[in-house]
Amino acid sequence: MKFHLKIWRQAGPDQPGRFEEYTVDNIVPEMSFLEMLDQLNEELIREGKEPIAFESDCREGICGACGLVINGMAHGPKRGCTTCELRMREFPDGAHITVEPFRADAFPVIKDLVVDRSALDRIIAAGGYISVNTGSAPDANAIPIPKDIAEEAMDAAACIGCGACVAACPNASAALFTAAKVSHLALLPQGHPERERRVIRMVDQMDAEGFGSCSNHGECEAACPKGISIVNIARMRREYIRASTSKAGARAVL
Amino acid sequence: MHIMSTDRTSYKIRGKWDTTVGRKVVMAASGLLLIGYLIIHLAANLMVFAGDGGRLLNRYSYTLHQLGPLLWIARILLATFFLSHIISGIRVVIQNRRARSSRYAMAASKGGPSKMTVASRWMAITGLILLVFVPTHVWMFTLGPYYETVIDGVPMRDIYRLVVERFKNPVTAFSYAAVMLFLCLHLAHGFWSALQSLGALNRKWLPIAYTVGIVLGVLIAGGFFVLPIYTYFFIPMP
Repeated sequence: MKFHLKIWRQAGPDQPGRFEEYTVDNIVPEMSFLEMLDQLNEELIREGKEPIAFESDCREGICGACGLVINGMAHGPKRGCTTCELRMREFPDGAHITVEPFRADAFPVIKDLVVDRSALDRIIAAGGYISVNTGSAPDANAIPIPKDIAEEAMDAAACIGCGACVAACPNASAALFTAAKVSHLALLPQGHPERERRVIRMVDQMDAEGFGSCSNHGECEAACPKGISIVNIARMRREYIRASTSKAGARAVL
Repeated sequence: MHIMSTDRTSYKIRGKWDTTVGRKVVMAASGLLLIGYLIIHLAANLMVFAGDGGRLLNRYSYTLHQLGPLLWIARILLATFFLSHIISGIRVVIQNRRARSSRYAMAASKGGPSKMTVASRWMAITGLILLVFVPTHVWMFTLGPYYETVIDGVPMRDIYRLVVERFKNPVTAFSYAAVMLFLCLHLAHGFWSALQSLGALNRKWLPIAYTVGIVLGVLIAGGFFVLPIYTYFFIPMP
Protein backbone atom coordinates (compact mmCIF):
# COMPACT_ATOMS: atom_id res chain seq x y z
CA MET A 1 0.00 0.00 0.00
CA LYS A 2 1.04 3.58 -0.65
CA PHE A 3 0.18 6.62 1.47
CA HIS A 4 0.64 10.36 1.19
CA LEU A 5 1.35 11.77 4.63
CA LYS A 6 1.16 15.33 5.91
CA ILE A 7 2.97 15.31 9.25
CA TRP A 8 3.48 18.06 11.84
CA ARG A 9 7.17 18.81 12.38
CA GLN A 10 8.35 20.97 15.24
CA ALA A 11 12.00 21.11 16.33
CA GLY A 12 11.35 21.97 19.95
CA PRO A 13 8.89 23.29 22.53
CA ASP A 14 9.09 26.96 21.60
CA GLN A 15 9.88 26.51 17.93
CA PRO A 16 7.35 27.22 15.21
CA GLY A 17 5.89 24.05 13.68
CA ARG A 18 4.82 23.26 10.14
CA PHE A 19 3.45 20.40 8.10
CA GLU A 20 5.76 18.37 5.87
CA GLU A 21 4.69 15.95 3.20
CA TYR A 22 6.01 12.43 2.80
CA THR A 23 5.07 9.48 0.64
CA VAL A 24 5.47 5.94 1.95
CA ASP A 25 5.28 2.85 -0.22
CA ASN A 26 5.32 -0.93 0.32
CA ILE A 27 3.19 -0.73 3.44
CA VAL A 28 1.65 -4.06 4.47
CA PRO A 29 -2.07 -3.69 5.40
CA GLU A 30 -1.46 -5.52 8.71
CA MET A 31 1.11 -2.93 9.80
CA SER A 32 0.08 -0.69 12.65
CA PHE A 33 0.11 3.06 12.16
CA LEU A 34 3.26 3.26 14.27
CA GLU A 35 5.00 0.55 12.24
CA MET A 36 4.22 2.58 9.13
CA LEU A 37 5.89 5.59 10.81
CA ASP A 38 8.84 3.35 11.83
CA GLN A 39 9.32 2.45 8.18
CA LEU A 40 9.15 6.11 7.17
CA ASN A 41 11.70 6.97 9.87
CA GLU A 42 14.09 4.28 8.65
CA GLU A 43 13.93 5.82 5.19
CA LEU A 44 14.49 9.30 6.63
CA ILE A 45 17.50 8.06 8.61
CA ARG A 46 18.94 6.38 5.48
CA GLU A 47 18.58 9.69 3.65
CA GLY A 48 20.40 11.42 6.51
CA LYS A 49 17.28 13.33 7.59
CA GLU A 50 15.86 13.89 11.06
CA PRO A 51 13.37 11.09 11.90
CA ILE A 52 9.86 12.02 13.11
CA ALA A 53 9.58 11.97 16.89
CA PHE A 54 6.50 10.15 18.27
CA GLU A 55 5.81 8.27 21.48
CA SER A 56 5.08 4.59 21.96
CA ASP A 57 5.76 1.89 24.48
CA CYS A 58 3.73 -1.32 24.80
CA ARG A 59 2.25 -1.24 21.29
CA GLU A 60 -0.67 -3.35 22.49
CA GLY A 61 -3.07 -0.65 23.64
CA ILE A 62 -2.54 -0.83 27.37
CA CYS A 63 0.14 1.69 28.30
CA GLY A 64 -1.31 4.97 27.00
CA ALA A 65 2.01 6.26 25.65
CA CYS A 66 1.06 6.58 21.99
CA GLY A 67 -1.41 9.10 20.72
CA LEU A 68 -1.67 10.99 17.46
CA VAL A 69 -4.42 12.98 15.84
CA ILE A 70 -4.94 11.23 12.50
CA ASN A 71 -7.17 12.95 9.94
CA GLY A 72 -8.59 15.10 12.74
CA MET A 73 -9.41 12.19 15.05
CA ALA A 74 -7.53 11.24 18.20
CA HIS A 75 -6.08 7.73 17.67
CA GLY A 76 -7.41 7.79 14.11
CA PRO A 77 -10.74 6.83 12.55
CA LYS A 78 -11.31 3.48 14.30
CA ARG A 79 -13.23 3.62 17.59
CA GLY A 80 -12.09 1.83 20.73
CA CYS A 81 -8.43 1.54 19.82
CA THR A 82 -5.15 3.32 20.39
CA THR A 83 -2.84 4.59 17.64
CA CYS A 84 -0.63 1.50 18.03
CA GLU A 85 -3.63 -0.78 17.51
CA LEU A 86 -4.75 1.04 14.38
CA ARG A 87 -3.91 -1.00 11.27
CA MET A 88 -3.14 0.49 7.87
CA ARG A 89 -5.97 -1.60 6.34
CA GLU A 90 -8.32 0.99 7.87
CA PHE A 91 -7.18 3.39 5.13
CA PRO A 92 -7.73 3.01 1.38
CA ASP A 93 -4.61 2.53 -0.72
CA GLY A 94 -3.20 5.87 -1.85
CA ALA A 95 -4.97 7.76 0.94
CA HIS A 96 -3.86 11.21 2.06
CA ILE A 97 -3.37 11.17 5.84
CA THR A 98 -2.83 14.19 8.10
CA VAL A 99 -0.94 13.51 11.34
CA GLU A 100 -0.85 16.08 14.16
CA PRO A 101 0.12 16.02 17.82
CA PHE A 102 -2.56 16.19 20.55
CA ARG A 103 -3.26 19.91 20.75
CA ALA A 104 -4.00 21.55 24.11
CA ASP A 105 -2.20 24.32 25.93
CA ALA A 106 -1.92 21.94 28.88
CA PHE A 107 -0.08 19.49 26.56
CA PRO A 108 2.86 21.52 25.20
CA VAL A 109 4.65 20.01 22.20
CA ILE A 110 8.10 18.65 23.07
CA LYS A 111 9.07 17.68 19.54
CA ASP A 112 7.15 16.84 16.35
CA LEU A 113 4.31 14.58 17.52
CA VAL A 114 5.44 14.19 21.14
CA VAL A 115 3.56 16.23 23.73
CA ASP A 116 4.11 16.63 27.47
CA ARG A 117 1.15 15.00 29.21
CA SER A 118 2.51 15.25 32.75
CA ALA A 119 -0.44 17.56 33.56
CA LEU A 120 -2.48 14.33 33.80
CA ASP A 121 0.03 12.87 36.29
CA ARG A 122 -0.29 15.99 38.44
CA ILE A 123 -4.09 15.63 38.45
CA ILE A 124 -3.69 12.06 39.75
CA ALA A 125 -1.07 13.20 42.28
CA ALA A 126 -3.54 15.80 43.57
CA GLY A 127 -5.95 13.12 44.84
CA GLY A 128 -6.37 10.15 42.51
CA TYR A 129 -5.29 7.59 45.07
CA ILE A 130 -6.30 6.05 48.40
CA SER A 131 -4.06 6.52 51.43
CA VAL A 132 -3.45 3.07 52.87
CA ASN A 133 -0.42 1.29 54.18
CA THR A 134 0.60 -1.33 51.70
CA GLY A 135 1.13 -4.81 53.03
CA SER A 136 0.09 -8.28 52.08
CA ALA A 137 -2.92 -8.51 49.80
CA PRO A 138 -6.24 -8.56 51.69
CA ASP A 139 -8.48 -11.61 51.51
CA ALA A 140 -10.63 -11.70 48.41
CA ASN A 141 -14.21 -10.65 49.17
CA ALA A 142 -13.24 -9.36 52.63
CA ILE A 143 -15.09 -6.20 51.59
CA PRO A 144 -18.35 -7.14 49.86
CA ILE A 145 -18.95 -5.03 46.74
CA PRO A 146 -22.02 -5.62 44.55
CA LYS A 147 -21.20 -6.97 41.10
CA ASP A 148 -22.71 -4.00 39.19
CA ILE A 149 -20.78 -1.48 41.30
CA ALA A 150 -17.55 -3.42 40.81
CA GLU A 151 -18.17 -3.49 37.05
CA GLU A 152 -18.90 0.25 36.92
CA ALA A 153 -15.74 1.02 38.92
CA MET A 154 -13.70 -1.31 36.70
CA ASP A 155 -15.00 0.39 33.55
CA ALA A 156 -13.83 3.75 34.92
CA ALA A 157 -10.51 2.27 36.05
CA ALA A 158 -9.83 1.11 32.49
CA CYS A 159 -8.42 4.59 31.71
CA ILE A 160 -4.85 4.33 30.41
CA GLY A 161 -4.23 8.07 30.67
CA CYS A 162 -3.45 8.53 26.98
CA GLY A 163 -5.09 11.97 26.85
CA ALA A 164 -7.21 11.27 23.75
CA CYS A 165 -10.21 12.76 25.62
CA VAL A 166 -8.36 16.07 25.92
CA ALA A 167 -7.21 15.89 22.30
CA ALA A 168 -10.72 15.18 20.99
CA CYS A 169 -12.54 17.70 23.18
CA PRO A 170 -13.35 20.95 21.35
CA ASN A 171 -12.52 22.71 24.65
CA ALA A 172 -9.39 20.66 25.48
CA SER A 173 -11.08 19.61 28.71
CA ALA A 174 -9.67 16.84 30.89
CA ALA A 175 -13.08 16.16 32.44
CA LEU A 176 -13.33 12.54 31.26
CA PHE A 177 -9.82 11.67 32.47
CA THR A 178 -10.39 13.28 35.89
CA ALA A 179 -13.93 11.89 36.16
CA ALA A 180 -12.75 8.35 35.41
CA LYS A 181 -10.44 8.36 38.43
CA VAL A 182 -12.93 10.20 40.69
CA SER A 183 -15.62 7.68 39.67
CA HIS A 184 -13.42 4.63 40.05
CA LEU A 185 -12.58 5.53 43.65
CA ALA A 186 -15.95 7.07 44.64
CA LEU A 187 -17.74 3.86 43.68
CA LEU A 188 -15.65 1.67 45.97
CA PRO A 189 -15.66 1.65 49.79
CA GLN A 190 -11.87 2.02 49.86
CA GLY A 191 -12.26 5.39 48.15
CA HIS A 192 -14.91 6.79 50.48
CA PRO A 193 -12.81 8.24 53.34
CA GLU A 194 -11.10 10.73 51.01
CA ARG A 195 -13.85 11.31 48.47
CA GLU A 196 -14.53 14.99 49.29
CA ARG A 197 -10.97 16.14 49.26
CA ARG A 198 -10.15 13.96 46.26
CA VAL A 199 -12.70 15.54 43.93
CA ILE A 200 -11.99 19.11 45.06
CA ARG A 201 -8.23 18.74 44.73
CA MET A 202 -8.36 16.94 41.40
CA VAL A 203 -10.76 19.49 39.86
CA ASP A 204 -8.62 22.29 41.24
CA GLN A 205 -5.47 20.79 39.73
CA MET A 206 -7.27 20.22 36.42
CA ASP A 207 -8.09 23.95 36.36
CA ALA A 208 -4.58 24.98 37.40
CA GLU A 209 -3.18 23.06 34.42
CA GLY A 210 -5.25 25.16 32.03
CA PHE A 211 -7.64 22.55 30.66
CA GLY A 212 -10.99 23.80 29.33
CA SER A 213 -14.36 23.01 30.84
CA CYS A 214 -16.69 20.27 29.70
CA SER A 215 -19.51 21.37 27.36
CA ASN A 216 -20.98 17.88 27.14
CA HIS A 217 -20.17 17.35 23.46
CA GLY A 218 -19.30 13.71 24.21
CA GLU A 219 -16.38 13.71 21.74
CA CYS A 220 -14.16 12.33 24.54
CA GLU A 221 -16.18 9.14 24.90
CA ALA A 222 -16.08 8.63 21.12
CA ALA A 223 -12.29 9.00 21.09
CA CYS A 224 -11.56 7.03 24.28
CA PRO A 225 -9.75 3.79 23.36
CA LYS A 226 -11.30 2.20 26.44
CA GLY A 227 -14.83 3.50 25.74
CA ILE A 228 -15.12 5.27 29.09
CA SER A 229 -18.59 6.81 29.34
CA ILE A 230 -19.45 10.45 30.03
CA VAL A 231 -21.77 9.22 32.80
CA ASN A 232 -18.53 9.31 34.81
CA ILE A 233 -18.39 13.07 34.24
CA ALA A 234 -21.90 13.37 35.71
CA ARG A 235 -20.71 11.33 38.70
CA MET A 236 -17.68 13.61 39.15
CA ARG A 237 -20.04 16.61 39.22
CA ARG A 238 -22.25 14.90 41.81
CA GLU A 239 -19.14 14.24 43.88
CA TYR A 240 -18.06 17.87 43.44
CA ILE A 241 -21.43 19.32 44.44
CA ARG A 242 -21.59 16.91 47.37
CA ALA A 243 -18.06 17.81 48.49
CA SER A 244 -18.44 21.55 48.11
CA THR A 245 -21.64 21.62 50.14
CA SER A 246 -20.45 19.34 52.97
CA LYS A 247 -18.41 19.90 56.12
CA ALA A 248 -15.92 17.24 55.05
CA GLY A 249 -15.42 19.16 51.82
CA ALA A 250 -14.86 22.41 53.71
CA ARG A 251 -12.20 20.68 55.83
CA ALA A 252 -10.57 19.31 52.68
CA VAL A 253 -9.65 22.73 51.35
CA LEU A 254 -8.12 24.02 54.59
CA MET B 1 1.20 26.14 35.15
CA HIS B 2 3.59 23.29 35.87
CA ILE B 3 3.40 23.37 39.62
CA MET B 4 1.17 21.47 41.98
CA SER B 5 -1.50 23.86 43.16
CA THR B 6 -1.05 22.74 46.75
CA ASP B 7 -2.63 25.95 47.99
CA ARG B 8 -5.88 25.02 46.22
CA THR B 9 -5.80 28.34 44.39
CA SER B 10 -8.90 28.25 42.23
CA TYR B 11 -11.20 26.73 44.79
CA LYS B 12 -10.07 28.86 47.70
CA ILE B 13 -9.58 32.22 46.04
CA ARG B 14 -12.20 32.21 43.32
CA GLY B 15 -14.65 30.04 45.20
CA LYS B 16 -16.19 26.66 44.56
CA TRP B 17 -18.66 27.93 41.95
CA ASP B 18 -15.94 29.57 39.84
CA THR B 19 -14.09 26.39 38.82
CA THR B 20 -14.57 24.47 35.56
CA VAL B 21 -17.15 22.26 37.28
CA GLY B 22 -18.69 25.04 39.41
CA ARG B 23 -19.30 27.45 36.54
CA LYS B 24 -21.16 24.78 34.64
CA VAL B 25 -23.30 24.07 37.71
CA VAL B 26 -24.29 27.77 37.85
CA MET B 27 -24.90 27.83 34.10
CA ALA B 28 -26.98 24.64 34.26
CA ALA B 29 -29.12 25.64 37.25
CA SER B 30 -29.87 29.10 35.84
CA GLY B 31 -30.51 27.59 32.40
CA LEU B 32 -33.04 25.10 33.75
CA LEU B 33 -34.83 27.87 35.69
CA LEU B 34 -34.96 29.94 32.50
CA ILE B 35 -36.45 26.94 30.65
CA GLY B 36 -39.07 26.78 33.42
CA TYR B 37 -39.87 30.44 32.82
CA LEU B 38 -40.06 29.88 29.05
CA ILE B 39 -42.69 27.19 29.55
CA ILE B 40 -44.87 29.54 31.67
CA HIS B 41 -44.28 32.35 29.17
CA LEU B 42 -45.27 30.14 26.25
CA ALA B 43 -48.42 28.95 28.03
CA ALA B 44 -49.42 32.61 28.52
CA ASN B 45 -48.60 33.54 24.93
CA LEU B 46 -50.71 30.73 23.56
CA MET B 47 -53.70 32.71 24.92
CA VAL B 48 -53.31 34.85 21.79
CA PHE B 49 -54.80 31.90 19.92
CA ALA B 50 -57.95 31.91 22.11
CA GLY B 51 -59.84 33.79 19.39
CA ASP B 52 -61.58 35.99 21.95
CA GLY B 53 -60.14 39.31 20.81
CA GLY B 54 -57.55 39.21 23.57
CA ARG B 55 -59.90 38.88 26.57
CA LEU B 56 -58.04 35.96 28.14
CA LEU B 57 -54.54 37.33 27.52
CA ASN B 58 -55.38 40.81 28.80
CA ARG B 59 -57.05 39.44 31.94
CA TYR B 60 -54.01 37.20 32.59
CA SER B 61 -51.66 40.15 32.14
CA TYR B 62 -53.87 42.27 34.42
CA THR B 63 -53.85 39.58 37.13
CA LEU B 64 -50.03 39.38 36.93
CA HIS B 65 -49.72 43.13 37.36
CA GLN B 66 -52.07 43.03 40.34
CA LEU B 67 -49.40 40.95 42.13
CA GLY B 68 -47.37 44.15 42.64
CA PRO B 69 -44.22 43.46 44.67
CA LEU B 70 -44.42 39.72 43.90
CA LEU B 71 -44.15 40.51 40.21
CA TRP B 72 -41.05 42.58 40.90
CA ILE B 73 -39.50 39.79 42.94
CA ALA B 74 -40.15 37.45 40.01
CA ARG B 75 -38.59 39.95 37.59
CA ILE B 76 -35.49 40.40 39.77
CA LEU B 77 -35.10 36.61 40.11
CA LEU B 78 -35.46 36.20 36.37
CA ALA B 79 -32.85 38.89 35.71
CA THR B 80 -30.53 37.17 38.20
CA PHE B 81 -30.89 33.79 36.44
CA PHE B 82 -30.34 35.49 33.09
CA LEU B 83 -27.22 37.35 34.24
CA SER B 84 -25.66 34.36 36.03
CA HIS B 85 -26.30 32.29 32.91
CA ILE B 86 -24.55 34.88 30.73
CA ILE B 87 -21.63 35.55 33.08
CA SER B 88 -20.87 31.86 33.65
CA GLY B 89 -21.28 31.31 29.90
CA ILE B 90 -18.80 34.03 28.99
CA ARG B 91 -16.29 32.74 31.53
CA VAL B 92 -16.60 29.19 30.18
CA VAL B 93 -16.10 30.36 26.58
CA ILE B 94 -13.02 32.46 27.46
CA GLN B 95 -11.43 29.60 29.38
CA ASN B 96 -12.18 27.10 26.63
CA ARG B 97 -10.58 29.29 23.98
CA ARG B 98 -7.49 29.70 26.13
CA ALA B 99 -7.23 25.95 26.63
CA ARG B 100 -6.39 25.38 22.94
CA SER B 101 -4.59 28.32 21.38
CA SER B 102 -3.15 26.28 18.49
CA ARG B 103 -5.93 24.85 16.35
CA TYR B 104 -6.02 21.53 14.55
CA ALA B 105 -5.43 21.64 10.80
CA MET B 106 -8.09 18.98 10.51
CA ALA B 107 -10.83 18.13 13.00
CA ALA B 108 -13.40 15.38 12.69
CA SER B 109 -15.80 13.56 15.00
CA LYS B 110 -15.48 9.84 15.59
CA GLY B 111 -19.28 9.66 15.85
CA GLY B 112 -20.68 6.75 17.84
CA PRO B 113 -21.51 7.87 21.38
CA SER B 114 -20.60 11.51 20.60
CA LYS B 115 -23.34 14.03 21.35
CA MET B 116 -21.68 16.77 19.31
CA THR B 117 -24.12 18.47 16.94
CA VAL B 118 -24.62 21.91 15.40
CA ALA B 119 -26.63 22.66 18.56
CA SER B 120 -23.75 21.85 20.92
CA ARG B 121 -21.10 23.59 18.80
CA TRP B 122 -23.19 26.75 18.38
CA MET B 123 -24.21 27.23 22.02
CA ALA B 124 -22.19 30.46 22.37
CA ILE B 125 -23.47 31.83 19.04
CA THR B 126 -27.13 30.96 19.67
CA GLY B 127 -26.69 32.32 23.21
CA LEU B 128 -25.33 35.58 21.84
CA ILE B 129 -28.30 35.89 19.46
CA LEU B 130 -30.68 35.36 22.39
CA LEU B 131 -28.72 37.89 24.44
CA VAL B 132 -29.47 40.52 21.79
CA PHE B 133 -33.03 39.28 21.33
CA VAL B 134 -34.22 39.32 24.96
CA PRO B 135 -33.66 43.04 25.73
CA THR B 136 -35.11 43.96 22.31
CA HIS B 137 -38.09 41.76 23.07
CA VAL B 138 -38.69 43.38 26.49
CA TRP B 139 -38.33 46.82 24.91
CA MET B 140 -40.84 45.97 22.16
CA PHE B 141 -43.51 44.47 24.36
CA THR B 142 -43.25 45.20 28.10
CA LEU B 143 -41.92 48.72 27.48
CA GLY B 144 -43.99 49.23 24.31
CA PRO B 145 -46.95 51.62 23.83
CA TYR B 146 -49.62 51.51 26.53
CA TYR B 147 -52.99 50.82 24.93
CA GLU B 148 -55.98 50.64 27.21
CA THR B 149 -59.07 48.49 27.04
CA VAL B 150 -62.02 47.83 29.36
CA ILE B 151 -62.96 44.23 30.11
CA ASP B 152 -65.98 43.58 32.35
CA GLY B 153 -65.89 47.21 33.44
CA VAL B 154 -62.22 47.03 34.51
CA PRO B 155 -59.78 49.27 32.66
CA MET B 156 -56.53 47.45 31.85
CA ARG B 157 -53.59 47.41 29.45
CA ASP B 158 -54.45 46.04 26.02
CA ILE B 159 -51.34 43.91 25.61
CA TYR B 160 -53.15 41.79 22.99
CA ARG B 161 -53.46 44.78 20.69
CA LEU B 162 -49.75 45.53 21.09
CA VAL B 163 -48.79 41.91 20.31
CA VAL B 164 -50.97 41.79 17.18
CA GLU B 165 -49.78 45.23 16.08
CA ARG B 166 -46.13 44.27 16.44
CA PHE B 167 -46.55 41.01 14.56
CA LYS B 168 -48.42 42.70 11.71
CA ASN B 169 -45.02 44.18 10.88
CA PRO B 170 -43.44 41.52 8.64
CA VAL B 171 -39.87 42.41 9.69
CA THR B 172 -40.73 41.92 13.38
CA ALA B 173 -42.78 38.77 12.80
CA PHE B 174 -40.26 36.97 10.61
CA SER B 175 -37.12 38.00 12.48
CA TYR B 176 -38.80 36.92 15.73
CA ALA B 177 -39.62 33.56 14.14
CA ALA B 178 -36.05 33.22 12.85
CA VAL B 179 -34.59 33.81 16.31
CA MET B 180 -36.81 30.98 17.57
CA LEU B 181 -34.90 28.54 15.33
CA PHE B 182 -31.77 29.48 17.26
CA LEU B 183 -33.68 29.09 20.53
CA CYS B 184 -34.60 25.57 19.39
CA LEU B 185 -30.90 24.71 18.91
CA HIS B 186 -29.96 26.30 22.23
CA LEU B 187 -32.58 24.26 24.10
CA ALA B 188 -31.92 21.03 22.21
CA HIS B 189 -28.40 20.88 23.64
CA GLY B 190 -29.06 23.03 26.71
CA PHE B 191 -31.64 20.88 28.47
CA TRP B 192 -29.83 17.55 28.65
CA SER B 193 -26.47 19.28 29.00
CA ALA B 194 -27.75 21.20 32.05
CA LEU B 195 -28.87 17.97 33.72
CA GLN B 196 -25.50 16.39 32.87
CA SER B 197 -23.66 19.42 34.29
CA LEU B 198 -25.64 19.09 37.52
CA GLY B 199 -24.61 15.45 37.72
CA ALA B 200 -28.23 14.32 37.47
CA LEU B 201 -27.71 11.72 34.74
CA ASN B 202 -26.58 8.11 34.68
CA ARG B 203 -26.52 5.32 32.12
CA LYS B 204 -30.31 5.00 32.19
CA TRP B 205 -31.33 8.67 32.25
CA LEU B 206 -28.73 10.18 29.91
CA PRO B 207 -30.29 8.96 26.63
CA ILE B 208 -33.78 9.81 27.92
CA ALA B 209 -32.76 13.37 28.89
CA TYR B 210 -31.05 13.80 25.52
CA THR B 211 -34.24 12.92 23.63
CA VAL B 212 -36.47 14.94 25.97
CA GLY B 213 -34.20 17.97 25.38
CA ILE B 214 -34.71 17.81 21.63
CA VAL B 215 -38.49 17.36 22.00
CA LEU B 216 -38.65 20.21 24.53
CA GLY B 217 -36.61 22.48 22.27
CA VAL B 218 -38.85 21.79 19.30
CA LEU B 219 -42.06 22.25 21.33
CA ILE B 220 -41.04 25.46 23.15
CA ALA B 221 -39.32 27.14 20.21
CA GLY B 222 -42.03 25.77 17.90
CA GLY B 223 -44.75 27.46 19.97
CA PHE B 224 -42.93 30.78 19.90
CA PHE B 225 -42.25 30.29 16.18
CA VAL B 226 -45.86 29.72 15.21
CA LEU B 227 -47.11 32.71 17.25
CA PRO B 228 -45.77 35.61 15.10
CA ILE B 229 -46.34 33.75 11.82
CA TYR B 230 -49.95 32.87 12.66
CA THR B 231 -50.61 36.39 13.97
CA TYR B 232 -49.17 37.95 10.81
CA PHE B 233 -51.30 35.88 8.48
CA PHE B 234 -54.50 35.06 10.35
CA ILE B 235 -55.25 37.32 13.33
CA PRO B 236 -57.14 40.55 12.46
CA MET B 237 -56.11 43.87 14.04
CA PRO B 238 -58.37 44.48 17.02
